[in-house]
Amino acid sequence: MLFNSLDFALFLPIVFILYWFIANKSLTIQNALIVLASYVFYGWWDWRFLFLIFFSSIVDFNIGLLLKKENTLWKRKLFLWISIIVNLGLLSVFKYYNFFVDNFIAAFSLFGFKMSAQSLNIILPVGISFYSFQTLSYTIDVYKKKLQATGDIISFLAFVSFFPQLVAGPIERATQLLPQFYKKRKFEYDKAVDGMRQILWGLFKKIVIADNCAIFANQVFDNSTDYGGSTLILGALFFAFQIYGDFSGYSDIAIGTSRLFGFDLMRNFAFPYFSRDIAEFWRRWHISLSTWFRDYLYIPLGGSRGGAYKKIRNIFIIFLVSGFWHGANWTFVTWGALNALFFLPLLLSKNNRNHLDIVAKDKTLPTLREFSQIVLTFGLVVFAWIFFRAENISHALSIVKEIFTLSSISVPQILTPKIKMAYTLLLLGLFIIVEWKNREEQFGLAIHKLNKPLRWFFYTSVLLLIITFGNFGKNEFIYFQF
Amino acid sequence: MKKFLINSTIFLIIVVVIHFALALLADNTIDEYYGKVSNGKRNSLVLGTSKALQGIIPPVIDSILGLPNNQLYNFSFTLTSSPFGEVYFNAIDNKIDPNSVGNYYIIAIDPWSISEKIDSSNFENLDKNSVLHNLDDVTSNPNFQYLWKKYPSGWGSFILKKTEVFFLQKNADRLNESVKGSFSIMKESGWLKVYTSLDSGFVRKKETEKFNQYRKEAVENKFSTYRYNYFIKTIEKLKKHGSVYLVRLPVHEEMLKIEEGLVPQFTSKIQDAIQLSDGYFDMTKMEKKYYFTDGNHLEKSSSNIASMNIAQWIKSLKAENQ
Repeated sequence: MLFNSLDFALFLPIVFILYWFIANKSLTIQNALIVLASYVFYGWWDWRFLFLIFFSSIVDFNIGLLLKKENTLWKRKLFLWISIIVNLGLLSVFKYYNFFVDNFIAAFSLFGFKMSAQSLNIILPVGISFYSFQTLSYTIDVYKKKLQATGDIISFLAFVSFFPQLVAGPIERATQLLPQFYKKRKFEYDKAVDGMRQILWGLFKKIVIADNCAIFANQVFDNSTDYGGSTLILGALFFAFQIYGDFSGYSDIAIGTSRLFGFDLMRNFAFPYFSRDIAEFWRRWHISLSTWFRDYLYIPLGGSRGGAYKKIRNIFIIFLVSGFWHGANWTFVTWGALNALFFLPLLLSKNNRNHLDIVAKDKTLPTLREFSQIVLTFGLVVFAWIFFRAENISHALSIVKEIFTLSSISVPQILTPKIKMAYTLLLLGLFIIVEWKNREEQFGLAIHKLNKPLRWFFYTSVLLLIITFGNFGKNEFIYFQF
Repeated sequence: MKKFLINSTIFLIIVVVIHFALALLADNTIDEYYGKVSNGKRNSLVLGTSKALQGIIPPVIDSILGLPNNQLYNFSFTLTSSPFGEVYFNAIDNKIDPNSVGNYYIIAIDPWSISEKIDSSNFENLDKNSVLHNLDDVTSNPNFQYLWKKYPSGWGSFILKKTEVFFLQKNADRLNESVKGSFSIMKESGWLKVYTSLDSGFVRKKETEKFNQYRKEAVENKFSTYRYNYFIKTIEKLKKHGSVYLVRLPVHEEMLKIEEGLVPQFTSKIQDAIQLSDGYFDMTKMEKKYYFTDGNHLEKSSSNIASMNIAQWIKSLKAENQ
């Protein structure tokens, strides 16, 4: 079920009413309702893959119980590895099988060996990368004794399948989300209203910003040979806002929806395009994944301790794995490698933690220095997005090659429909202003400090913008494919 | 919780009120069909597919026949939406006042509108892609059923569309000279005025595309007894309300060959219908007099001439009968 669909607009109030008015007598019933609703939500897309979530959940639930009883180290390690192999194994089969087979054959053919293997026509289960990582975080934390294994199967199923964040995150840690299922939830007006605001803003980002930018990004990337450098840059800029609006919009709706049910999810985006260097960008972009890799991969590898070689190795590992997590394509791996290259100078010169505060805090505008830092960082990010969006590496390279010609100095071509392009640019301008204005808040429409008439004015305005400029096709969220 | 539910309800009411206001704004500029299904009962009609939609101009005919302004209305759609069949028949039935008499009906007929796919088996689903399918009412304004069906997610786009059409109408003639593609404006009479480049290279390219497309279609389609029966049924229905004139609009000679391949001996094939009507005007022999945008549709100045020719033909028929 898509958040931007009529199905969800009906589904959400029904679950909300059942949750607070019918199932509120017992915590178990409330959690069971969440499991049922989450399975309906997921099954709406393809019910056949429900068994995968159920299977992953049952395996990790039982491994958690085994880890709780077992004190022998090698046995504990064995259980942990079973969980890792099951989860990453399923992920590898469904997401990476064809990639490995094709590349294996290609590598052998380089040495003159002729091999043949059958590629499989596999459907990628929506959100598998997200819930696999979420459930893995549980077994790892139980193994490390950071978390007590749960004996409550309903809570655990609800934790793995919690519908607001099931298919595209934020990837929650078991230590943060699971305990919330044990506690009786109380309806809090302010929290729920804040949730509604965040849902509204998420819808605006997705339907107005992302889906309109997508029209022009697709136009340029799908016909890249027809355009000069400046138009290709424009296409990459549209894609940068498409992916931000799409993914952070999803996260906003997920967090907002969770708040309606009394849950707090972690923040996933913190105005990343206002970052002053790449390190700050990665502290603000897809925070739940970045911190997951930091805690479960980067730190166990040694993090930034040790010599330069080890630092470089660890940074490359984390960024390449992050790229590969996004999809079985060399474009994503290259995107990760580029970000590692951008990040390394900061790490090696110990400047990677220079910007921990909010840019231009308590000021209206940034200083010229801050502004140029933001522009430079954004430029690097957009450059890397070209590889992320391109069909393959040669496609990306052809775009980059054209960008580094004199054609980039010319005025970009006007894309069609012209009127749509004009208002999309205006809306982007408005969007950037609103996000800048509220960059010290949790999300763009956090306007709780304003008086009531002004708040309602903003709600109605955003609503009007959505229904006037929204692109109401059946536009899936980009991150569903990951 | 009570306060939250009240505020959520207020918000929901705002959403509904905004949409209701937008529905009131909707008119024939929001898309090519809305005007046709929201302008009340109309009794004298032009019927057919896109050839009639673009090729027959009601006010031209009104003035030559001496009818009051806006008497005749172009209730034609496209080949997908208005080939003869149950769906179009029901829409026509709903559009006409059941008690009205003395009306004029001009039906544009060609092989396509009485054909079906060779592999068609289920007549119930034959016109499921028609804009008129499952539309019980084609007269109410606002037509909520249509708006809900066609625009399930947000009606704010009407504002943009109206602004765009307003701009196009103001600059249509100037744009017509420079435009390399085409755009269209739905007139109040139901005629779709298409502005398109008349650059010979551009027209030839469109003709080639159209001929290729229709050659392929001709192989995949056949004469449909189901559609022909509904064509007859439509004439019988309309005869109770007035005079029925059948017209075969002109097409490019290449397109005519394709049509002859689809339904050979077309005129004799529809003889029963011709006998039932008040007259049949075959304009395909006059194709040299007209310009086409793509070999299949009349260019707007030719639509004007064709409409005058049709009106004069009806006028002469009426004079003969008197």
